[in-house]
Amino acid sequence: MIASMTNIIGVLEQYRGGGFLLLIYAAAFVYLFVKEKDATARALFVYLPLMVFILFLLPPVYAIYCKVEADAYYRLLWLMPMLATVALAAARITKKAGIPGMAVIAALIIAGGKYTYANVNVLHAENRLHIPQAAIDVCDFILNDHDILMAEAGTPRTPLPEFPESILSGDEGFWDDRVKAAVPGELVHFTRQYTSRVNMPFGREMMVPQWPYFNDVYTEMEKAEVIDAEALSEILKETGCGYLVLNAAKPVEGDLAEYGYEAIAFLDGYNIFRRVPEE
Amino acid sequence: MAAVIKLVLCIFWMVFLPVAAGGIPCLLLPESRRSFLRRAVSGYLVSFTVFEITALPVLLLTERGDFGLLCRIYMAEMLLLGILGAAAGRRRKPGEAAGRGSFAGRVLYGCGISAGAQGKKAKLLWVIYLGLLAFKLVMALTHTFFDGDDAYYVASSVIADETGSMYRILPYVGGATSLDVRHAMAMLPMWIAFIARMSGTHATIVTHTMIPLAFHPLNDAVLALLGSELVRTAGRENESDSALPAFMIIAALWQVFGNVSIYTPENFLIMRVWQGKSMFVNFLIPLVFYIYLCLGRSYGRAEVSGLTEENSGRERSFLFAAALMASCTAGLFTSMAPVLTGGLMGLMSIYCAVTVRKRRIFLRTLIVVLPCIIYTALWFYLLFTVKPF
Repeated sequence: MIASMTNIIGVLEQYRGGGFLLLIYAAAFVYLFVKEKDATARALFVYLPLMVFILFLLPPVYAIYCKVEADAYYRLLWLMPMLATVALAAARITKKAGIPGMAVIAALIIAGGKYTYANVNVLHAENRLHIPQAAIDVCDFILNDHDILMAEAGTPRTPLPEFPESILSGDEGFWDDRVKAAVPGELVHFTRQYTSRVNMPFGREMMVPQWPYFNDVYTEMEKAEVIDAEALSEILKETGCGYLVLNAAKPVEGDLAEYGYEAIAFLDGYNIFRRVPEE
Repeated sequence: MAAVIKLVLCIFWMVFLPVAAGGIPCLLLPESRRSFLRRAVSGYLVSFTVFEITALPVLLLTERGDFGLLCRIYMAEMLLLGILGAAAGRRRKPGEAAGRGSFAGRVLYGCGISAGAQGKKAKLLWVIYLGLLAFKLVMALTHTFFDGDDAYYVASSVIADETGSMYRILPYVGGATSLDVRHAMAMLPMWIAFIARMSGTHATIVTHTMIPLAFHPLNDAVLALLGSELVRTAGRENESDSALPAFMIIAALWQVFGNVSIYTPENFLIMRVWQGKSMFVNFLIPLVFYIYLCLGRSYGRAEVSGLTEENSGRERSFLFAAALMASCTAGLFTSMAPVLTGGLMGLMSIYCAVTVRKRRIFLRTLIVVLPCIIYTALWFYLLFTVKPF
């Protein structure tokens, strides 16, 4: 019970974050509690949120919710209409105190909040896809190289089928339109947002530290400070990786070419290696 | 030229048809209560509801989740609904709007915002709000918002569009998998993939560039509806009223400065408006509040609702239809949304029923939340029966 309460308070603390927007909401809530005359509005914007908040604080509710979606308990707070409550209180105050009244509330929100566009994850878009151009360039290069090789080998290019039955049968030979490429962590999120033709030995699931996954390729490529060329190439061969993309800044011990991966390009700060067909 | 054609097609499927389809539910309303905002919002509800109801059987009953089949069926449905809705959606008589003074006043009146923009103060506030909305749109267009979950949702759209298979290929790494029950029934990424396929545009461009241009105004439209109903409480419709634009400005500021943590609805709105979770909290939840606020008032005294008895009945029919569609739509956004939406609707109906002493609100809500209950039951059933590949 106490542990649950601690967790619930922790969720609330995390939700509150920095700034004092929750305090502004609390003030708006009290204002409506005192001033709101309309019965329905009072029921929905005062009593209902109060009930939701009480439910949120109850350990049994927390226990049940977490059985289904453990890390999303904060979403119960989404049922409290904070934005509308603050905006309604502001509208009422504006009606009485005029624009200066609204300006004070606006100033409080600006002072108590955090500017979303200052978030470290907001960057100028490099293209219309809003993903790094390097991810696009690397994928285009790999797919183009793969298509040329297939054409030279006389293998007919098989377009992506509407109904990919072959993946059920595990017939990898059918998939000559696809490639498997290991890409560094900073490109992992974006590669398959650009094309489903590039499969990967590890994906985003490895990039979230709290998720309990293990992957050999990831361990050799990302976790190791210096990449062991021999160990990495062996694992890549086992997973059927035709291509390897490495950040040029990442140190590599040994020559990948000796172990079956030849360098074919340097693009946007990345070295691209292709698996040499074995005799 | 090709880019222009794609843009036009994108707008046609993503904006025009849903808004046109809104003419159908608006038929339930008395003419005095029809407005562009109600039509647009209910049109998206129609569009989302029809998509979810169509997509779930296709997802579950075809061998690999036949996206091509879904596109063909949904295309026909939306064209039909769009044509019917366009034919059904009658405009207000010009004389009515003309009586509202300035151009800005006529536009707002057409949007169903009766608090006009005749006064200088109100006009100034509306300009500030529109500036904030434009700012959000420009930022959405020119900036990239990194979110790890995109590696799942956006990749799912790309896979569906490129391979024609829904939720049977691992989005993170590729390769076959069994149906991903946990996420598959929340099909907003497939709705986006549909827009991508119909417009011939890359699904990631649609997601990151086009969707915010439609969803930000849509979410604000819901807020404007909610705000206009809330500020109407004062019981007057003063021509120079500044309460609603003040409401919208504060709402916009709250959104833009709401990045206090990564869990707030405002963070989800700005950083990932294309994801179902964001639409759930920024579109559906305020909409449910709006629906039940109007419902409660429609049962109240005429001076509060502003409606005659006959019109109150028609208004309620529209609102219950909207609530039913919201209930169907919840599952489109996120798997937990039906539980939360159904629970919220249940609580609201109890509060409203007690407040206006009308048991009928609660009883009808029991029917309204049925889609949420069915969805949740199906979700749990699949979760425990579908074996990993």
